[in-house]
Order: sequence, then C-alpha cells, then structure tokens
Amino acid sequence: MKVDDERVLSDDGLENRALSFLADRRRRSRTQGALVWGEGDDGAVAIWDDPDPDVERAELDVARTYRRARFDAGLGWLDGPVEHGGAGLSAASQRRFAALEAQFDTPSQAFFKLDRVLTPILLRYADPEIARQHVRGLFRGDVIGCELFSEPGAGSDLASLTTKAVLDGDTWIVDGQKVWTSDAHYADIGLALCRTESQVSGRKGLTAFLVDMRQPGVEVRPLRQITGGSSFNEVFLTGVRVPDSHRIGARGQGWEVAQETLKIERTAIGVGMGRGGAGVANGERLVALVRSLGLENDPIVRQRLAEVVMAFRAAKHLQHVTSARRRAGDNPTASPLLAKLTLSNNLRLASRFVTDLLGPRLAADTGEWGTFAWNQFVLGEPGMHIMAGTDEVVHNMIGEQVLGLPREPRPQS
Amino acid sequence: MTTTTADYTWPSELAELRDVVAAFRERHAGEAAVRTLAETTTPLDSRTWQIMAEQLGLAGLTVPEELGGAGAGYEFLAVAMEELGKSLLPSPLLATTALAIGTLMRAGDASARERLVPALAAGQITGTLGYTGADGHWDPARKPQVRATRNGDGWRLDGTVHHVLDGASADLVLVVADTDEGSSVFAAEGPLPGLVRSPMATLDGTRSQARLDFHDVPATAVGVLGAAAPTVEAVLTRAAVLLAAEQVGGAQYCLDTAVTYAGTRTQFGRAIGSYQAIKHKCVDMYLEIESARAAVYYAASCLTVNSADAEPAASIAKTLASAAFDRASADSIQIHGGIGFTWEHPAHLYFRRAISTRALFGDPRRHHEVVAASLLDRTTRSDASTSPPESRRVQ
Ligand SMILES: Cc1cc2nc3c(=O)[nH]c(=O)nc-3n(C[C@H](O)[C@H](O)[C@H](O)COP(=O)(O)OP(=O)(O)OC[C@H]3O[C@@H](n4cnc5c(N)ncnc54)[C@H](O)[C@@H]3O)c2cc1C
Repeated sequence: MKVDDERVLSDDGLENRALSFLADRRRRSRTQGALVWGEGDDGAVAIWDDPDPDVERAELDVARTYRRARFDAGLGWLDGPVEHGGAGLSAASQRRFAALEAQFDTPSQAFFKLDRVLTPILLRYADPEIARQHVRGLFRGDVIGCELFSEPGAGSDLASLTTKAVLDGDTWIVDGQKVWTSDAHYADIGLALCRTESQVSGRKGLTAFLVDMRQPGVEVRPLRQITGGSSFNEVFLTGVRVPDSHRIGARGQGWEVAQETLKIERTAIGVGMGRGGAGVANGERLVALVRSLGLENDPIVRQRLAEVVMAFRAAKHLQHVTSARRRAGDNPTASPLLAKLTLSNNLRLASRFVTDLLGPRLAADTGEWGTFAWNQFVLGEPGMHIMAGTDEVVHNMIGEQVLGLPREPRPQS
Repeated sequence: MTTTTADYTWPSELAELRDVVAAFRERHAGEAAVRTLAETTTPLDSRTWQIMAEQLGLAGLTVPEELGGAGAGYEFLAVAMEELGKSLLPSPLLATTALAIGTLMRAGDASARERLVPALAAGQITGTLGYTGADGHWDPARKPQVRATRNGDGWRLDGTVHHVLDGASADLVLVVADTDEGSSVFAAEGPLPGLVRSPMATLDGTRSQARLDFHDVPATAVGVLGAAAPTVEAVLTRAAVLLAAEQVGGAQYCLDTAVTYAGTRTQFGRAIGSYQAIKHKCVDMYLEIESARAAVYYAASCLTVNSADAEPAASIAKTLASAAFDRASADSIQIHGGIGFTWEHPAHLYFRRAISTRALFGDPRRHHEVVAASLLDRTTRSDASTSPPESRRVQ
C-alpha cells in the first residue's frame, strides 16, 4: 500500500499553476491550514449552515465569484471529464489541490455541496444536452442543486410519496408538497421525485425530474430548525411545468434514481466530514480544546479523547480500505451505508465528549473563544442521525442488503 | 498530528493468500481438532505446523528473503492471522512470528538474527518471548523480573516470567532480563536444566500460557546490553497489530454464525433476524468489525513502510479489534439464545478467546493512552523515522 500522493500534482506543473492562482486571489491564511487556538472562526464547528438570510446572500456571492474564477482557471474540477469542463486528472490530484487550497483563506464552498452528488446522476440518467448544461454549472457555481424527495407523509417510507406529475403534451405538470429540503432557498434546480403512474402504488410508479426552482409555482418557505437558524425548507409545488426533456431517467425509474442519489450522498457525507464537521473529524480541534482547558493530563479526558480520535481515524481508514477493496472487486454495496453510520456514530461520540468537557461553558456564553461556539455542533448533531436515511433505516438496509438477513414484514397491499 | 492521504491498493496476492489459508483452516482446523487440542493442552502436532510453516510459508512471511522468508509486508501476515482467527486452532504462529522473530529482527544483532531467524522462519523451531510479571502487563519501561549475571563468556538467568505464550512448548525462549547496563534481551536455547516451565490454567484453552522459572539457566545476550526497552516496544506494536488481525477473524466468525442462525431460527412466526432488535445488533457487529479490519490493514501497512504513525495506528487497531471481538462474541451468544450458552456450542470458545486477547499485548486502556500521548504529549520517536523497513512487500 502506498501511503502518499504528494507528487501527483507536481508532475505536470499543475501545482505551480494552482499555487499562483491561489496566491493571486487569496490571502495565505496565517495558520496555513493548521488550527491555532483563538484564531479564526470558532463557529466553524457548526454542522449546519444557518446564518441570517442577508449574510448568507452576501456569502453566496463571494463564494460564487471565487468558484467561477477557479473553474475558469481550469482548477474547478480536476478529476472531472474534459468534455464537461473538468481537467481529466485523478482523484488524488483533486485531493492535493484541496490541501493546497486549505492553506489559503478561501470562501466556504458549502453552498455547492450537491455538485458531486448530482453530477453522476445527471451524466447517467439525464438527456445528454441537459446534463451538459448543468454539470458544468454545478462546478462553475452557476447552478446550485437541492433534493426534493421527502414529503410530510413520506420520509423513511419514501416510496409512499404523493406529489403528482401529469403529462400534458410534452410537459409535465407537478403538484404537491416537499419538506426538509436543504438549501432550497437558494437552489437553482431541484431533483424531484414524483408519482407519475396513479394506478401503480409504491416504487414502480415514481419518476424523477429536474425542476427549475426559479419558475412560477415553486414556493419555498424556510423552516426554523433546532439550532435556531434555517437551512432547510418546505417547498410547495403548484402547477409547476417541467418539460419532458427534464425527466431524469425513464418513466417509472424514479426509485432507482433516488436510491442512487442517496447512495452517492451518503458516501459524500461520510467522506466529506472533514469539511461538513468543520475540521472536527481530524480531532485537531478537540485536542486544542483539551489543551486550552488545561485538561491534557487528566487521565479520564485522555482516555476519552483517544476514543473519539480513534473513531475518526477508523472512519477514515474504513473509507480508504473499503474503496481499495471495492476497486479490487469486493462487495460495493456496503461502503456508503457504513460511511453514513460511522459519521453519525462519531458525531455523537464527539458531541458527548465536548458536552462533558465544556460543562457550564456550553450552557452559557462566557465570551471565551472556542467554547460556547460548540453549541451549534451539539445542537446540530441529532440531525445527522435523520438526514439521508435515519440510523434505523440504514441499519435495516445493511442488515437486509449486505448481511442478507430476512426482510421486515411489509404490509399486504 | 499525522493525517494520511493514503492511496490504498489492495493487492490481489492478499486475496490469494486468504484463500490458501482458508482452505488450510477448513481442512486442518475444524472445531473437533480445536477442542481436542484445547482440552488436552498439547501443542499442535508437528505435521500440521509443518504445513503452516513450510507449505504455506506463514512463519517466514515478513522475514527478508536472505533469512529464508518471503519478504512480504505485514498486510500479508495480517491476512493469514485474520483467516486463522476464524478458527481457534492453537498454533505456535503468533508467538513465533510476532514475538520471537519480531524480537530478533528488531534487536539489532546480526549474528543472532542469522543464527536463529532462518530456523524460525522455516518452522524448524518455534519461539516465544518472556517479559511480564504476574500482573501480565507489558510495560517496556519497567524493570524486568529476571536477572542476568555474567558467567565467563556467557550469561546466567535467574527469576520468573509469567504469561509466556507457548512458554511450555517453545523451542527458543527469548527473555528480557535486567543487567548492570539495564534491561537486555537474552536467548535460551536447547535443553535447559534449571528452566522450569509450568503451564498456567487459562480461561482460553486454545492459547497456552506458562510460568517460566529460571534457576541459573545459561543464555546468550541478543543485541546491545541495556537496549531492550525500544525493542520490546517495537515488538509489542507488531504483536498488537497481528493479534488484532486475528481478533477481526474471530469476530467475523461470530458474526457469520449469528447471521446464519438469525436467518433460520423462527419465533412468533418470523425469522428472528427480521426483528430489528436482532438485525440491528448484527449490523452494529458488522460495522465494528469492518472498522477494526480497516484499522488493522492501515496499521499493517504502516509497519511495512516503517511509518512514524505505526505506533498509534497499532494501538487503534488493537483497541478497535478488541472491542469488535468483545461485542461480536457476546452478541453471538445472545442471538443464539440458550443454545449459545452451552458447552457444546462453539460460541463460548470465541467468547473466551475474545476476553483473553483483549488483555494481551496491551489492554484498551493502555492503547488509549498511547493514542492520547501521540495527540497531547509532543515527543519525537527516533526509532520509527531512522531505522529502515525490515520487510518488503511481495510484488
Ligand atoms: C437536517 C436534515 C436535512 C434534510 N435534507 C433533506 C433534503 O435536502 N431533501 C430531502 O428530500 N429530505 C431531506 N431530509 C429529510 C430526511 O431524509 C427525512 O427526515 C428522513 O428520511 C426521515 O423521515 P421522516 O422525517 O419523515 O421520519 P419518519 O420516517 O417519520 O421516522 C420517524 C422515526 O421512525 C423511525 N422509523 C421509520 N421507519 C422505520 C422502520 N422501518 N424501522 C425502524 N424505524 C423506523 C425513523 O428511523 C425515525 O426514528 C432532511 C432531514 C434533516 C433532518
């Protein structure tokens, strides 16, 4: 096993190009990517982004400007196919670039988190012309996507959803209500799962569509969440017109499209935790917190810190080893499900640890850097056990699809 | 803090070795054979050991080619250990490879290495290392329990070590003893009047431990006098990873039997595996096993390339594997219900193995502390970064 990929970018001069791009536009961060206690944004531990709408708008503009420049410099999608605006390089190059980028103060790209989730879906299921337009946009920052799956009456049992799409000539008319839709308040497109065959119940009657979120009939109402902010929404779809060319996959293939999307999303959630959990997943911030509280010699704190960091490391190794085994032909079903479960377990472990460490400092703000800010982590953590398939449902999927245990009894229909 | 951007590959030879060892296990390491060996505490018969060492080449997997081994990376020995861990065959493999060969390869004594390693690698002799006192803890910083005194050109050993793996049967007994220069490694070979080997009663009958009393026993010094501590530490690191691999195999066996049983046993008109309380238990076992397995292979690859991250990686692997085996062996009993609590059913054998290996080569508390120290105490370890890799991988 090779344990390094430092040289991947340097071979073709890309490293220099990347560095000069970054140096031209962005300040090198004082801390060079490493955490220095008391410096920078201590709120970076928040699990969900939920600033006030005006701040968010302004941040989005900045993030977009950077993203466009990065894409236009050929650095926006290093491991993407050339015909779609990617650079055709390896995943390792992409990781190396991300590491370089982390040394600079670059705007958060959390607005665009579905880029790598929706792209493979569009390339596989969408009309090629539609895919071409949007894939490029997803990486250039022109297009932001969201997932319109869940409904008030259909969460874990997604196949029971009732949002209807009815064909009228070559246009579909969509009516229904979606809920818990992350990022819908600034999204440009939504991948919507709708019932197209009213006679067929369950999975077979579903079809996926790419909905323009800016068109009439789409109404987005932010929901306030546990953390006090709002990053998800209700979405009302009333007589929304979707051209048939925006159908994603065949009629009746919607269940498959949604399952594939969730699969990629789960892996992305598991892998992308370093950023989603805002630097929590490498444990560095927890180590710094322990030091700042002067608890580095407390035997119980040492044991628990080790336990949490071990769990983070194990998650990373699990990801590396399962993907190596997958490349070598081993069982592929498990790894996204394991990634999601590992993440929610690990965040719970970290949340309990932080809660115990901070005690009263978490209950009320003393003004001390890096303490009360953890409330956004601790309060956000329960959501991770619900989104993209609840822990219970993911357990069922692993039990049945991976271990081959007997299925739960289903209601007779 | 070390972060890795490992680009793993999973060589196809790993899968091939796994298949070969699995075939051996099915043929020679069935439950009946294991029970017979465990209940009589006789060592593995020499023919079966010859198959393991000679035909499968397991004893010499990580030994360099010039010393008669395969020169393979630790991942390979880990795969073999993992596969063997699914059965509980009592064998000299762990003590011989992890302890005896491990010590000789790390002790920096070319002549001892050339004299002893080829015979160990070929399985002609078996070996072990004695270190701990009655409490069973391996603390490389502690003063050894045996005293060595000069006797002309050689040395004489006096004292007692406990919990010596295969201590009653190993041909070569390495032991750490105290000298005026500090703790040092010694080798005791051949017929040894003065060495009394007493098998200890063990909770896990498939893994023998012995108390060794040295009364004026002749021995040769291995490596530089006073330099045993870093050697023991390096050996422990390697032994922890290999044992963790074995634990993963044991846990996997428990999961496999639990899943099979849960799929066939019905109660209240349904297979018990369709109840979430049972299904979710199996999935949690599975998640822990997969995590531990990944940590083992990462740690093994760190050992192969002699990475500075090897020590915490080994501790992570050992802790997670102990936890996974602990849970899997207990939950397997639970899922089997009353039948799982009988002597006839093999579940208790794995439960015993899990309990006893949890404490071997460092319990979770010790390994947590190793990881905590790597995070909180800024120390630099010289041996990891300067010494060359001791094995190369099979290509
Ligand atoms: C932060 C966040 C972001 C989200 N973002 C999106 C998004 O962008 N787009 C989108 O479409 N959806 C999104 N969701 C919705 C999410 O996918 C659903 O909330 C989730 O699938 C659960 O559905 P539900 O909320 O209806 O709960 P329910 O399905 O009603 O479940 C309630 C409880 O019952 C349990 N339960 C249900 N069925 C079973 C079973 N068979 N066995 C055992 N237990 C069961 C569940 O595990 C849960 O504990 C988001 C949710 C959250 C919290």
